[in-house]
Amino acid sequence: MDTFTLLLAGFASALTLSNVLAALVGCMLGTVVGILPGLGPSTTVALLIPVAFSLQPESALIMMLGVYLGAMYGGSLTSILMKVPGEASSVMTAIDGFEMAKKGRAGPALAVAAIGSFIGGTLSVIGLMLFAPLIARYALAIGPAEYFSLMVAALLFTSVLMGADMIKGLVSIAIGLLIAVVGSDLQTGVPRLTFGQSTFLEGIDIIIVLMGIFGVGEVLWYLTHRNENQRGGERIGLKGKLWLTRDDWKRSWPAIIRSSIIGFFAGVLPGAGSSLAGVLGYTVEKRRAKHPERFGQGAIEGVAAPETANNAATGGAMIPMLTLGIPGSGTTAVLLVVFTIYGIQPGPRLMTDNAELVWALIASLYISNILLLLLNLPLIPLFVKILDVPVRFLMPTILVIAAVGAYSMKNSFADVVLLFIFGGIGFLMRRLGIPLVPLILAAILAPKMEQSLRQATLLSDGDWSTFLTRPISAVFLAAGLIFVLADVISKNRRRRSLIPATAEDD
Amino acid sequence: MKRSARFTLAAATAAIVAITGVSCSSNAGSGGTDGAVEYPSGAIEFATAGDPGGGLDLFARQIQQTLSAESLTDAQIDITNIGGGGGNPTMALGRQRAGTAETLLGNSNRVYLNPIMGTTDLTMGKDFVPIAQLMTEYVVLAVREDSPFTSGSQVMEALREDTRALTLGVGTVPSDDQLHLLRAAEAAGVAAEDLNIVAFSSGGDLLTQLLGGQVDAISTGFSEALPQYEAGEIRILAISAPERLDGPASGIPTWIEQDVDVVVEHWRGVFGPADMPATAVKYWEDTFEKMVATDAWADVLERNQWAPLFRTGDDFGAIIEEEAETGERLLRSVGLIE
Repeated sequence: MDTFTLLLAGFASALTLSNVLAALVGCMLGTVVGILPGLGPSTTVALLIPVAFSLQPESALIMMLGVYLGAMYGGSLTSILMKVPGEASSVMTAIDGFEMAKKGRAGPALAVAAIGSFIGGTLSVIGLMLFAPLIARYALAIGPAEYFSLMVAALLFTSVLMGADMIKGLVSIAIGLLIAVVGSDLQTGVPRLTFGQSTFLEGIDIIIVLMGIFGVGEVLWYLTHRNENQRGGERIGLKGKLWLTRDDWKRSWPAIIRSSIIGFFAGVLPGAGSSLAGVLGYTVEKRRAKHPERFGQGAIEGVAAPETANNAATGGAMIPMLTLGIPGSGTTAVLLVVFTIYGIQPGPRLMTDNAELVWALIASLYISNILLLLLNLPLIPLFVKILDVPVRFLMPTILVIAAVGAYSMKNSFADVVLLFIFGGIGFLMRRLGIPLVPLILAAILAPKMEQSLRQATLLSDGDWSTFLTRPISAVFLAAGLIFVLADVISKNRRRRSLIPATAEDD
Repeated sequence: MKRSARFTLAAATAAIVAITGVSCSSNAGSGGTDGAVEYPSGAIEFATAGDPGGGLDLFARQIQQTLSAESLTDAQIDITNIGGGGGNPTMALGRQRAGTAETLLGNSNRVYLNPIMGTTDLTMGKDFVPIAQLMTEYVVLAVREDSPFTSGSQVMEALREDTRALTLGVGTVPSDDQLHLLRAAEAAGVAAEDLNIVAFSSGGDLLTQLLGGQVDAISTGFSEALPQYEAGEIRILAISAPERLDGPASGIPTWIEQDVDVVVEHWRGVFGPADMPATAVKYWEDTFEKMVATDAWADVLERNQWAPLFRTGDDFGAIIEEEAETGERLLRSVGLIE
């Protein structure tokens, strides 16, 4: 049977009433979970395991995939409306998304997030369908050395997010790195910078950092700048249309297409998948933009790109799971557990032994993406009502949501304290004009990067040339280098100075 | 079809309840057992040192399910996930709730590894008491199917000649993955402290590294290696069980069969708070003893690729002390502790 016939058969089984209902329930749950920071998709899928016992394997898995996709959609909502990213993957959305909201353009921001998510999600399922076995084999060639070089290239690439002041950018990165090294060292199990506190043994959760620096920091900023506003009775409100303008469309389309491709490939990589996807999607658009200074001030591409990319990553992340039986992310790891509960052996033979199930799942991904678009678009007018709430009520609400989110991750009060500490750090940094984005990037990328470096040098028995002698690794490094050179040259030619970036500069 | 649709809806409702319920499961019970009321009289909080979906969470949930399906206890068991902190916050409940009878704690070998590594001062006996060891997983040594090695003893021979002959992958450090390698090496006369062992954070990542040829051999739980083993992508050279297992592992020789005298049990067990009343300890020992004899538990073991293992109270405690001693000596020899 060819792919098309298999897919049709998949649709036939995914389109039964109970399976569509399962997808619908999953999507709705996922959206809610995405909105609530702290409760991530992997936790939710795990909590659904007992429910799964009472369902057909197909329905249960479809519901869980719905949760996974829904969470990616939902994550954009709090990012845009409150600058509280619910998932690491929607951090980049918060930057321009919240700026758009402040300008009264929350409607288009949410709409483009939903549309981008839909297109990115759908394109990545097509990619999954057509290229899965091929890509899976290539992905295996990515070892620690290659991963490290890829991260170096990515970091060079994202240097555009540094902002104008180099020193301040480096300070921001240094703080991010400091946060990233807290916790037990993977290679030795030795606690680093934990100050004897068990809370720090497994490191500081990136979500806490994000919610603190962005969400709580924003509230503190508002508190100290209140006098500039009028008496605190003001509201953000809405201006203009809820829907995208012609100009919005023109800007968003190319970003959505590019980010779909980027997100898909980033998703295949183990470990960093969807958050890396968001970062890369955003950076590429900023790089390509004629007026990169618009980014951080509410550029619609800045919302379209990361939201598309993190949804496109879901299809990529499923490739190692379906073709090799190896989880590429927290959520897919839990999904594999569910497979085994049903006595389905995930692994290299899954696609041949259980073709019917796999294709039903793939078909359900298409269905869930459509359901999510249908669920999300009509709700936009409702969601944006939040911004009609006077700011003096909205700000405390942000604090509450962030605090509840921080607590619910591990039922730990210490995390709430940490949240507010990071809020303070975020506020001080803004005060001093230190950009926040480099810190976030460092905190997201550094743990994986450090481990890859250590693993690669351990494997090569301390020989650092491993990064140059391994061909794929060398290609990544060269790409990073060429990129920097090209950048310098083009800058000299166009005499375009580094543009002061991002939302932090008030 | 209509019926199954309704079923889905019901399941969804249950899901929502489950999700909203999880973050607010409250501290169960207070005080010790009351002589007049038969134990257990109320809800029991089963705190597990892991996030939902993780190994220890699955362990707790399978116990909860089996006990209720077989009606082995009148107690209502509520599971609380206390993730993070290397499992220390879970065991801290043992100290906080000393003398009470309404808390059970699910954990693994971290109860002794953490004190060895100096990340906690919570220790067995003083802060929590052993109740029962309920099952184990065995650890395997695996290579890619195109590897020149066909037995565990061959690997050990190669390492005896050159301890850096192979790069070895494990999940985390310190762990049973790692101790398995160190103990097997020691038993085979290899200088364990010189081995090149690299940690790869998770079992999934570890297998990717093996399949991609980044490491020569890995040490991991049998259940994690099983899919690739059945697909013929990897070869399993040795398993850390005391004797040949049944089922999918029946083709795998133990270390002992290969003249390497080593057994590693990656067990999971249940503990109680410090000074848990003897009646309560006894109650759970008996209840678990009944549980592990049921067919339902046998199914659970089979489904998860766990192996049967049952020890209670003092036997359980003695094993932990023995493992802790070996672990401390080996970790000291490789320089992880001073």
